[in-house]
Amino acid sequence: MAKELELARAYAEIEAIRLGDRLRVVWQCQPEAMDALVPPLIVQPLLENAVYHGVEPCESGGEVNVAIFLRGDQLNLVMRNPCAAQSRRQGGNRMALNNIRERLDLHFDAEAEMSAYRSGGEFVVQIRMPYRHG
Amino acid sequence: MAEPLRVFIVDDEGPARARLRSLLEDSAGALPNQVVGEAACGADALAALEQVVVDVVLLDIRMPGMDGMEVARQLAKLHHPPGVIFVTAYDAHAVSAFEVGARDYLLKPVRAERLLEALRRIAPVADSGTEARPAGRAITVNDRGRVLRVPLAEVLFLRAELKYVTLRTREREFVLDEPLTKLEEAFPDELLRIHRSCLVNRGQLAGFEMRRLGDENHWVALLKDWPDALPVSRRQAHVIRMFRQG
Repeated sequence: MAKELELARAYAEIEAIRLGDRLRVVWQCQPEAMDALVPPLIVQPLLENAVYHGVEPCESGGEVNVAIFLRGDQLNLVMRNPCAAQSRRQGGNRMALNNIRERLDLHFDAEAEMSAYRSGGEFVVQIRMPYRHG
Repeated sequence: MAEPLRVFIVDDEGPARARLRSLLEDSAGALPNQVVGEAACGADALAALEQVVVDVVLLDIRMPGMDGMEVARQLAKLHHPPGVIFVTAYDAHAVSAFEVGARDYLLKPVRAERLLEALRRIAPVADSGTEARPAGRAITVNDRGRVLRVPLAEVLFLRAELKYVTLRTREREFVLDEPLTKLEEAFPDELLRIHRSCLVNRGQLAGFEMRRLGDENHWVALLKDWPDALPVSRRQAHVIRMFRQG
């Protein structure tokens, strides 16, 4: 998970060069969760989705919230981004979401769960998977 | 050209604006230009461009809020509409870009030569003074995957070749699909038929000359600052009489 976050942060830095202060990322990452073993490329594609669909279309930009924490023996990842009120941007083909779901299934079978939904002007992706660590 | 080309940059991303600025700076030797302003969104651009007259706007298409297409539509309503050159990372908008009267369409990353080429196309118009550019007086051509509008003022002549029509400007030649008759009908005041296979731009016509070709005398049309003369057919010889009478 620590490596996943390192990659996601590097990506966020690149986007920050492009978007300037329109992009704000809030990281809420529990240190205890950093040794969790997770399939690669879970966090960055979700963050990229959040930037593309949630921040870029909005003139004043937006805030992406990345939360990673443990609950019992479960690792939780929650990503939130604002939903542009009337985005001209097409909905996308949900490729990133489908890919991530597939990888979670391969690694954890039915033990992992992912949901993506709109809630109060936000788009939320929630992932729960068993906490396994090295 | 005495006055530098006045350029305005519109892009929501700072690095993209900075890149265009530095490309323009690098091009200043080849084509004098001056960045008179920039904006990070369509609304700011329109507000600024109502205050200041510019020759050309380098305009991003995908921006939050008002997009580049809408900005171009609004700009066209100005008293002195600037030439619009779209600058975008996507080629999906090319056709609609020309529907809103764009002069050119550059794909990011923009290269210096390509930018210069696009600006040169605007420069002669800018040079002709503050006179408003007549909208729509341009011929649309396909050029290596791009759709371009060549302003009529830049056209020297059009010639029917075996299977297509070529359009000649001072800089280069374009190929187009439209038959000469269609073009002649579309621009009766601007284009003059001097041969079954040739239309010349009246504005570029310097005069006519009688030349001896083999055993016969033939009229040829002379263009302003252009080395090649164009043959006038006997059938069209009456244009010389009309030319004489002004």
